[in-house]
Amino acid sequence: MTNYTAEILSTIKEVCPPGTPEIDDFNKPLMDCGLDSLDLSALFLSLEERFSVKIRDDDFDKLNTVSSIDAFLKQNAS
Amino acid sequence: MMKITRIAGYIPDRRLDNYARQNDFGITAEFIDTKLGANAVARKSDEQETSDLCVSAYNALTEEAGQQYDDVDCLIVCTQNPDAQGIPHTSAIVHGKLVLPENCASFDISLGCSGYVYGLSIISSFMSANGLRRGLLFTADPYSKIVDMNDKNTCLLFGDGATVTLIETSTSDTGVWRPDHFQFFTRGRDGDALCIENEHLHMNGRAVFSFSATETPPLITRSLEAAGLTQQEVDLFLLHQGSKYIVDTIRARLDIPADKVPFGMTTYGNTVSSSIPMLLKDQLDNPEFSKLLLCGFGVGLSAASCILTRQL
Repeated sequence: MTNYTAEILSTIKEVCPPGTPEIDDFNKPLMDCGLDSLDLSALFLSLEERFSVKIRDDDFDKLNTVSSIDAFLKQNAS
Repeated sequence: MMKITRIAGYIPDRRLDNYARQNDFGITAEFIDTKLGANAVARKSDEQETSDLCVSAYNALTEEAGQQYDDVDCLIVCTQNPDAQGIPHTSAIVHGKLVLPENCASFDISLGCSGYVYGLSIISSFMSANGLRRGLLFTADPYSKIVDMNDKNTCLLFGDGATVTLIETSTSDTGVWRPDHFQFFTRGRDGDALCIENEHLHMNGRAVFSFSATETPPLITRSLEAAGLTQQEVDLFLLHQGSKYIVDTIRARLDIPADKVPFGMTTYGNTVSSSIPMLLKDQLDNPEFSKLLLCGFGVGLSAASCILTRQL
């Protein structure tokens, strides 16, 4: 697990309501892991603020797994 | 000095049950309860125009006050869904339906969810500048005119309603609600996040959420600083009822106790510029409150906040 993955998982825990299942399959779509569209909006906002990155609407649909977000942050976070 | 004397609201009886549509949109009852915060949305009848909603709000005002207000000299309607595409302006139509005096100034203002706070500033300033004594500030923005009933981002969220706020001159500073310490914010470059596309309302939920969550807290802080108040000194924070999720998010970001941020759209939905006065009308007579913060945000993208103060 990379540092980014750990940060993504902890951010998911922060923004999602209690009872949201643990994510152990990093390639599984987040919407299939119990997150809804508003959770994703809050997650991406929090990641933008935490890592000083801009997640464009074009990227929003592609960043649908922990792995894809991890790859995005590796490429874009300073 | 201008004071807020009384507020009344009108919500149409007709409701669309959001639970009945949850399978259509693949959402759960929990999502409706904890994220949207509206188990139903209010819908006006097809025959009701925006001005009719205003008249119904006015009728509620006179019924609750036990008196008519014939000597109104200022009438403002805040709407972006006017009668007949805006010509004549809806305020003039309301003026006609209420049979108000011909020396009454009447005009519309085009604003969405920030409109009530803007409207308070506009009507107070306009009345003061022109020596007017009694004004009516209406909010009525029936989004049912523009919502696509197959768009889950909007059709489960927006409800119809109207409010009217009675503003009068006051010779006393004591015991009256006075709006002040207004702060404004506009980000026009992102206005397409909430706009009309192909004759229907389009909302980029993520963009509106990000705007509201990031820009509203500092705006609220600016109003507090302008008033020389701490959060703890404010009795209630009346936020635009965009959704339960956004109200909860703003509250959490400002670390305000839940009991200071009322929520009130559960049975009728997001009524745009009417959402704040719908909350406020129930608080004006509470003797325990002397400082309230109002904050509206949305279409524009636009936001506005102010402090209502009552010297006890």
